[in-house]
Amino acid sequence: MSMFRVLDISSAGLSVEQARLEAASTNLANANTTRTKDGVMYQPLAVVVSSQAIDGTTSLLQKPVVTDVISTSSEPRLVYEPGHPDANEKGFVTKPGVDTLSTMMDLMSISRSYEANLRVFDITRTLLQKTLEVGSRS
Amino acid sequence: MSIASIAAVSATNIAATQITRDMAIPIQSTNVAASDGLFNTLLNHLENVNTQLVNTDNAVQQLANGETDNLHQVMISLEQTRLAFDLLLQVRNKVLDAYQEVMRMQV
Repeated sequence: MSMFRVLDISSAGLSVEQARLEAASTNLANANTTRTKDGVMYQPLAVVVSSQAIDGTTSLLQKPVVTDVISTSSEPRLVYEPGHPDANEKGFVTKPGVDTLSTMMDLMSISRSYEANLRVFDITRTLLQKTLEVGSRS
Repeated sequence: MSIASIAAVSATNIAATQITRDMAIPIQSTNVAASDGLFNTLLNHLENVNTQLVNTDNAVQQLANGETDNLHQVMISLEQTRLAFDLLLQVRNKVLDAYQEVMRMQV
């Protein structure tokens, strides 16, 4: 139903923010991971978002979708930890280049965007509800 | 405001009323079987709302079983179903009102 189109758009926005939150939490949780299952170093994840036309419409209204989750190629950190099983011959362990500070900022922005989408949803719902009350106020 | 501007405003008002009169569409009785169509539409709508209710019920069940990826979609479908049901309820109230109005009519 076309009256629920706004709700669909907000829902897509919420899904995107959820994916970004998942990527950010994976990055933070793996900030000290020294090896992965594939044997390569963990690389911070990033979410690629693109916009998609809404089904059945030719209008400019578009909803966001997560196209891909990619691993970025950020510079690894070298931490001096001799005796660590993954340390090189000089005693340095390569740790993923997760920027904790900027990830925390990302978390703030994710939280605000999620709230904004929820707000849009709430407003739309309130308006629809008010519309259903047309004529019932005597 | 000068008298001239007041006169101009009233002139536009008169023009506006004339436009509305000209634009008034004459009522034509095109659909004789309107009542039949209305009830069919209502039944279709009822079916749609029922499907939506069943879908939402399934979504909530999946959420309870821990098979849902995201909470917001369940909440949004709950709200959508509530709105659709409210719409159905309002339509039903209005149809019933109209029916009772007809029944109260003096013959």
